[in-house]
Amino acid sequence: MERDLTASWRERTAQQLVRYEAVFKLLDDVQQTEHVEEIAQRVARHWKYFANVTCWRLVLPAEEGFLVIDGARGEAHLASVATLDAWDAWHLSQQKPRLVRPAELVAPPLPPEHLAGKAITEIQVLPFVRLGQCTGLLSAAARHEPFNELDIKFIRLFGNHLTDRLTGIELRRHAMNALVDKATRDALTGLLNRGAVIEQLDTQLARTIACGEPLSIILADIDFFKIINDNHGHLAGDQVLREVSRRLRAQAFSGDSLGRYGGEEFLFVLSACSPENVERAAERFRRIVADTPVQIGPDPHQVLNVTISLGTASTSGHEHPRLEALIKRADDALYQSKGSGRNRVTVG
Amino acid sequence: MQRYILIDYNDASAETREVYDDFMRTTGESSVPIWMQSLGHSAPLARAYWERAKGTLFSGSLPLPLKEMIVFVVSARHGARYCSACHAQNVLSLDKTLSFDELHSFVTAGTERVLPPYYEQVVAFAEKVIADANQVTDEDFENLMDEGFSREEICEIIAVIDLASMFNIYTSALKLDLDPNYRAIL
Repeated sequence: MERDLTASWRERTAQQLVRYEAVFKLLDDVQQTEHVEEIAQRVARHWKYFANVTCWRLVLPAEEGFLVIDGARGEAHLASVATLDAWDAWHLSQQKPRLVRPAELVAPPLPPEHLAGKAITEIQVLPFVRLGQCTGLLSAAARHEPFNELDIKFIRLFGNHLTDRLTGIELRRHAMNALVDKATRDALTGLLNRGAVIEQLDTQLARTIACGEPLSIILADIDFFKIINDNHGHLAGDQVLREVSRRLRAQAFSGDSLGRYGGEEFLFVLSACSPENVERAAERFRRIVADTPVQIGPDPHQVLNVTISLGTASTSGHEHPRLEALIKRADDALYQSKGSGRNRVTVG
Repeated sequence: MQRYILIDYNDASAETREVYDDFMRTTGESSVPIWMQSLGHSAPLARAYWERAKGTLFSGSLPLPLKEMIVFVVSARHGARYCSACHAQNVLSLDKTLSFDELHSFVTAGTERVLPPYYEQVVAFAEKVIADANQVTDEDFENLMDEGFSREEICEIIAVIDLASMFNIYTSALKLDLDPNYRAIL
């Protein structure tokens, strides 16, 4: 076969037979899901069809550290890292495109292992910069032959699009988390707010009714909180609330929910917890607060003895437990603790 | 002698027509090809062959042009006149600038065959599978994976090779005549 025919066949095949259909399909595919790993897997399979990219690395700066996506052998691997390897760190600091021919590379930084096989002819390093900030760093390797002009155009076009797409997903996720957090968290203590902890209780109660496991709750109230505020000021009161919250939160197990129920009142929802266990848990909470005074200022000697009163209630023995009735029983038990001297637990 | 009987759309049973309609709907063709008409006497057979072709060619991860190319190459290597002509036509319809002569010379080029790197690996793999599937080695898989193909994609490649082989046997044993819009390439 003539050499010129070979060249034209190769060019036409590569450029027209599959490129356009493949790029349009992948552009469409990456819009179909908000799941970053799924997008990465689709890209790992299909990038080779329109730009001859069989192995690549995309580095995306994240809120803390970086997301590193490696594509090779038709699969993608994702890793969240705090620091970058020398190759990525150097190119990220340069923020300039670079063409690297591994055969001519004599000095570090060396490319990642999956971009350094013997068939790799060159690596295109492309930083994607928005408003002076590098939003993504792509290293794409060519096998057998160097990338041609059209390959590079496709790599730049798709790399840009992919970076924007993945960055957009992360931004939306952060914004959504921040909104949910704002709507469900108590700003002072970081615990769930009243609405959110009641919603949690409602959900767990439904689960309890469905699977028959007991559910228990604890209402806890800081003793003489008004006097703390009056005698030491609201800043000291806030500090007491924060510290009591921190100690209680440290006692929570996975699956439990803890929220600020009222001014100085807390609601604990303990899943799969019997009446015997809830009494032990409440006693533990009482001691964790009472045993160590709370520091209320910069001076370590400026401390207050703080106690809490607690009331518990359980679904055990109640055939059709209702949320309002459960809270009422815990509330009654709490007031019994208050009435009989405070700093104690009453089982409701 | 003509080894088969064609059932055209007007003479087909309601069940066979359903298969014909699905073929035309899926491919965008306005008529039913000879291979399908030759199965038209049995709606279950027509459906079985069509569903196999549809499930393999019109879904999955590999791009259609690559699948068409695999079918074309396997058919050419099997000397399957009907299938190679049909899929030469399909490859041509996907790439208007590729001339019939170039495609013909691609098939007959032997060791001088030229293709983009990953095409070459896929075609070499297909040829090895049809020569003797038992001789396919882990290294053959490794080669394809180095070209960026996942294990799932390699399974799909094998399924396309197998589909082509099945149709090759059927169309060659019946010596199917070419549809009027196809040109013989072998």
